[in-house]
Amino acid sequence: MTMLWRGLRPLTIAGMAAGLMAGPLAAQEYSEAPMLADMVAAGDLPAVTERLPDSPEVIEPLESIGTYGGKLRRVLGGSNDHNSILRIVGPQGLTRWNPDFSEVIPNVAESWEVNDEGSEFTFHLREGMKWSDGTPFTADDIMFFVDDLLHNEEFYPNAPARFVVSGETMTAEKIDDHTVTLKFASPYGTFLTELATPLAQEPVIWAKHYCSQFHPAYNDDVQTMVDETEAVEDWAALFRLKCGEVEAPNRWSNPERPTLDPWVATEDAYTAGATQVVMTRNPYFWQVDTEGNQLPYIDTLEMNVAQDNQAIVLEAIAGNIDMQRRRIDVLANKPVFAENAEKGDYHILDVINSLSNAMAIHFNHTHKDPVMRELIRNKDVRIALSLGIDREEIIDIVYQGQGEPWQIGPRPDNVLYNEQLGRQYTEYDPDRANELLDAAGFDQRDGEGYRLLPNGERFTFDVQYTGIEQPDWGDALEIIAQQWEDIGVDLNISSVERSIYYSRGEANEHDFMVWGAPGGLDPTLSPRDVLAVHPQASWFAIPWTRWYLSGGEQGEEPSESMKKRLELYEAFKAEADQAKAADIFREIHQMAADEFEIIGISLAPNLVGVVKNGLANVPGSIPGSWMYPDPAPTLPQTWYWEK
Amino acid sequence: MADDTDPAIAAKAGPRGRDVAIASQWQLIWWSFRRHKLAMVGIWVIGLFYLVSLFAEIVAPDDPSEQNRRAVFHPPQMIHFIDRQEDGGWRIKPYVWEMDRERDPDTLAITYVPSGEKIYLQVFGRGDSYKLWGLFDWNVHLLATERPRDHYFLFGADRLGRDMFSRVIYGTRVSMSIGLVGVAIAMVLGIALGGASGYYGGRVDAVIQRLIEFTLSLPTIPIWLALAAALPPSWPVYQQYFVITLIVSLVGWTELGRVVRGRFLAMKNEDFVIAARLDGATERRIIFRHMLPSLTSHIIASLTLAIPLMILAETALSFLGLGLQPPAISWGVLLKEAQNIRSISQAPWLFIPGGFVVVAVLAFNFLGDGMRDAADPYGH
Repeated sequence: MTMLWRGLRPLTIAGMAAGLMAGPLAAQEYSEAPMLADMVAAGDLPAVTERLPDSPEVIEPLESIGTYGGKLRRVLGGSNDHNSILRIVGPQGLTRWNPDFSEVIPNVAESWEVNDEGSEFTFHLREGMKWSDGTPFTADDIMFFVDDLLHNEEFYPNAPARFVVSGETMTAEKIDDHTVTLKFASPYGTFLTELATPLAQEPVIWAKHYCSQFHPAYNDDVQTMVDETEAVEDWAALFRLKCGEVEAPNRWSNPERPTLDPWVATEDAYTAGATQVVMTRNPYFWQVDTEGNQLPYIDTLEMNVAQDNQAIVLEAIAGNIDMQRRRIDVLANKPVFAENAEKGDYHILDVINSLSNAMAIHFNHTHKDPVMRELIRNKDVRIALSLGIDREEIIDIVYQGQGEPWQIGPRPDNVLYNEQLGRQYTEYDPDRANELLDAAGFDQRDGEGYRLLPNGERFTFDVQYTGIEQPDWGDALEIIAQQWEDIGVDLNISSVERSIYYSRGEANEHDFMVWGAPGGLDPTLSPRDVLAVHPQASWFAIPWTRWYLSGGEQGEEPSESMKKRLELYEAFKAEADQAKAADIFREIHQMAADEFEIIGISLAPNLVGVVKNGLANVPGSIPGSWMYPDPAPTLPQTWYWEK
Repeated sequence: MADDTDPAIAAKAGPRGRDVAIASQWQLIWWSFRRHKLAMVGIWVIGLFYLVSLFAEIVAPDDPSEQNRRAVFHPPQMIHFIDRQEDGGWRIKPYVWEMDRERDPDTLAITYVPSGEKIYLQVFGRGDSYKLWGLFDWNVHLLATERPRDHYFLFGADRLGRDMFSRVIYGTRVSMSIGLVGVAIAMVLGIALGGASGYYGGRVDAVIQRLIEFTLSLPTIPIWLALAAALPPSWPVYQQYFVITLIVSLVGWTELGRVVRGRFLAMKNEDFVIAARLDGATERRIIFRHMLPSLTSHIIASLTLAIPLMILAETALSFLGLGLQPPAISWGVLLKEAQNIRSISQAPWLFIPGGFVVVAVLAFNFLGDGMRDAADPYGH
């Protein structure tokens, strides 16, 4: 496959070869964890050869063949940190990323074929593969998802966008028990990539034999169960409660739910109010190492639930976390981690940031106030505001000197890098900024030296940010407020709780919003800063996203440039030829660079995590991205404790 | 009331041998208060705090919001007064040692090493310009560096390189003022409504008591959350917080109101009240001259407890996103900014404001203690 990631700088883990399709080993060579061997001996479990698929996926561990046993400790942040579990256990989709985030490789699917047009994908499943309760995993499970859930309006009032092309929802055809074809109305060039991202696991997360009991097509009595369950109003809610959904706590709260994951929930599941979550090995896990040892090596995952991030930092420096970067990964923590590394017996993990910018400023191009809207839509004003920021100072103070002045767009080492999009107007030039603002008609000033708007009010921006999660944005904004004083612009900063932040933004009640800019390494997967496509993150023009998502019925008609870009985006999604698709995206980036809608502060610096000494097969540096749900693609099932 | 010829009192000659027997009530109060040593300490400390907050611009060497990339996590500096010169001579001239910043390329930790240069300080020297009380443009500081581009850090600097000493000074001004307005309003409301309820009884009492019950039944946290969402974000942070304290005080008067009512109910049939009434004293005089003074000790006690509570509550409210938020500066904000592992391990001086909270709270408590004892000079 040619992927858009090929230009990625060779990472330290590039040498980590994923074991692809090594020939099946003879059945007698498989071995298993002692805890499972005991259960087999006691007659509680079938033999390992019966539990594994006919040809299990053979993984070559990063450094060495491991030994069984031990536990891996992590800490969850509160009762809504389900994605922390997803990122280490969950992303067992049809495809997955190879460890260096450069290519999509087979995962649950053993192999696939794509038709010439790029609209039909035939997946070959592993014969003899089983769910964690021992029931065979077959094409019927995928058919169940497509026919009974994806096309069921009670379950999905709107089918997820990743399974819809040209307005038509994906369909499926079962070829035989282990072969299934997924079909789209027109070419879908990015489908295999999409399947490797965390949200596209739906085809293989619901076991038909278990989940169908919550579906009215299979169970006439489902309404009785709905009535008996508290806080559940219809079968779809009951289904999600019992069988989980990709991105929700309930995916990890039901120990009975069969999965394809390396570790499965136990009685200590992730339920509301849980203080510790324990997951244990899946005896039917379908991967083995090159010597035929069934994975995972580590017996259990133990995840304590902490209520605030500082508590997680404390656990990390005390050496009570075995591998984690989530919630503690800001660079400001690095000196603290370094200082305590010896005492806590851990080392520092380098996480390559996939973000483009650590902090992007989304001016609201669709502001409700016509005066503000006109001001914001004036490109010279935006240039002046950008020139009025001394990014070097912010980087030095807030980002430990580790970033570089940057706007948005793919990082310099990405194939889609656009220098103009990334670096235009990043120099600090308050004199030029003042000239531009004077020329734009804001040359009147009040008694305190602030500029005045045509309506006589002070040139003021109100900005909200989520201070609890992102204190660094508050620091940066305070510095910007001081710097903008020199160009006569007033900045009124307030930290708000996250739900208030979202409600203000979705109601289009903001002057500007601050958020991290994704798309540094994954520009085509996270294009929300150059395309108004995300109703909860394209803050620079929320009504435009509504216009786009509703096919022009709601929201507000975007600018000409944005309309053209959205058309190009549709063309990109349909383009099967990856080289042509990349060119389309280059055009999108160029138009975004010319429009200059959003400004940024600093190329996102790398992040940090901790890895306990003695935990083997963990790369020294990993890419960090939601689309590459780290650390799962580095295969935690191959980690083990050195004796 | 008290009998002037009581030997127990006559024996307690006032300070410097003055005669207690002929002293006025206020003199008695003052003498009694002065005997309370801790209370005297308290009043001096509080006086000093208010003096400093009044002249915060002059006392603070720097603009408290001025970031300085060369001073991120600068440690506190000692001011030296005796300047030894190379030729062996010496003079009295305050100075600090200049520190250079270094960043470890691997751990990214910042360290400061002395450069060997001295930064000389000047009493009432020129520094940042400011507007004193929003009225006068001035640039004189109590202790300024001789060269305006230099800085010194008595209490160190925070993560943005802002001078902690200046921030503590400005924080004193906010912490010792805004919250107290709410306390004052709660007190006035509590005494007025509680007093009316207890004194008049009957229908007035019933209405006020139902009002108190209703107020107490309001769930406060959801109300505050709604407020936080409803207050216009364009308001400056101080104004938002001021409004919130006002609203908190509208809920906070109820407890004092109930106590005052109870005491008034009990007192209104006491002999001295009846005597005053029979003498034809007006209601106002009866309430303020005869009844309220017997409550002063209780009111003072609850007030002096309420003030430190308000100072502490400010921090708690900030946590919900309701209290003061940066860029506002108060002790609570400063402490909240220090609430992370990074500060403990790398910049412990960020906890200095905590010492000020403790000192202020203790001083108010001592003062209250002394005032309560002194308010009833005949009670010994």
